[in-house]
Amino acid sequence: MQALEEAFFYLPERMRLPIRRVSARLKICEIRLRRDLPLSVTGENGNILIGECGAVGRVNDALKARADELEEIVDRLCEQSVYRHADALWRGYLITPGGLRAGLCGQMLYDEQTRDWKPDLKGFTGINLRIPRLIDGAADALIGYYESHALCSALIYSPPGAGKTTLLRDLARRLSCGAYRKKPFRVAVIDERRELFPEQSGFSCGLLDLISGLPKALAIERAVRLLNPQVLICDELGLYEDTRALISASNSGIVFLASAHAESRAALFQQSALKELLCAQAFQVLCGIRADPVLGRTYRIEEVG
Amino acid sequence: MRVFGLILITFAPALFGWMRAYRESKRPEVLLAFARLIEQIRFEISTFSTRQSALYDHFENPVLEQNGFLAALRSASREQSDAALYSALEAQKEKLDLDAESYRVLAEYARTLGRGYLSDELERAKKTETFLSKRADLIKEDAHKRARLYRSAGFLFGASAFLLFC
Repeated sequence: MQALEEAFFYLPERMRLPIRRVSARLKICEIRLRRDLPLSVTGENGNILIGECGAVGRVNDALKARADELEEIVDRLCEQSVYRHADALWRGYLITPGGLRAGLCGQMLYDEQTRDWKPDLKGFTGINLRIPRLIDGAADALIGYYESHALCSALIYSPPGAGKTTLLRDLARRLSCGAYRKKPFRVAVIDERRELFPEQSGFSCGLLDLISGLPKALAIERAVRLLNPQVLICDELGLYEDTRALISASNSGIVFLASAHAESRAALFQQSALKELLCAQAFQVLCGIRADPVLGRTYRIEEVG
Repeated sequence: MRVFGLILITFAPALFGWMRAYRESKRPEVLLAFARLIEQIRFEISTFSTRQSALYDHFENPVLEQNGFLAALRSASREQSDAALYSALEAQKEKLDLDAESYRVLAEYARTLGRGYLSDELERAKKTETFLSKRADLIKEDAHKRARLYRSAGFLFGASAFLLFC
């Protein structure tokens, strides 16, 4: 809820009230603004169009974000200091101190001086504000599995927006606080973009070490060497260098908990970097999340191999 | 009472002329102070990549302190997150008494501060700073002449009034 309040700070005045009205009726995961196109929010039941007074059914009745409004939002997300956030803008996302994740899309420009591409600050066509959540009990299914088996490395997969980051956050919190078998573990979290534990999130944790800002591969290597963690948590694997760093650290006795984008178990094996990781038996367990509008979130836990 | 009135009539124009002359002579100093402020902003951005709300924390300047601009700037910076420099300029426009061209350039810089990439920010800061310094040099001579004129005119009016009423 705090994060949603923070989101209102970045939004234009005219969009705040209708979104607030909708948020009273459902949990908002994302707020999506597109230039001259309908404003919408993503809830657990799908996409909802936002009109002047709240939810509307027709595209024509929805509010449309203007170019200057998008520019203003980006400016606020950058703390009126775009020069500080050039790298993040180049990567296409900004993370606020409160943990909001803003995905940006628009026109890129080629800078002759630096010989690199950079976003046109007047050419943003869309902003996706993702609201981070701490759901107590998001990791219940996996913790339950561990209670009946043993703590082991797990790869969590789901399509985007199904709750992988929320699950990892809850796992990090509970394992580091001693919620599992009443023993607190030394947990190292590789949080490259401060998505898991944002600066001012106020998420309370126990024996948790956080490495942020570094590329995952380098951070994994450092965490293993320097922090001596019992559990290492890493969000969104997918690149070869990340998976290779994990493979090389996988025989060190550390429990790895990581996540990856995939619709199904079969889809995991279709991604060559992840296939390599799974074939190397870096994970013992796969946990698939499915977000269903009627059933809610369901977790499918199965052993690898 | 008559003597008091005579003194008032004699000295008031001279005092007015002297005050105008003082204000004229201060103009280049104010421009140079703004150039110094922009230089500090450029330094903060290029060296520490300081966020806009903290850009002015370490800046001190007697001229801008004296005319109340720095106090307005710091208060705007604390109260609102965006365009503090622009707001302070707008609020102090009358007091600053800048010429129209200098104010336009300065306001344009303040309005767009923080809205560009590092290289653009530094370039704009450098350009504005150079403009203000050159402008200060240009009006220095002019300001001296005008200050002299106001002082002389004030004295003449005072003297004429004295002769007229004596």
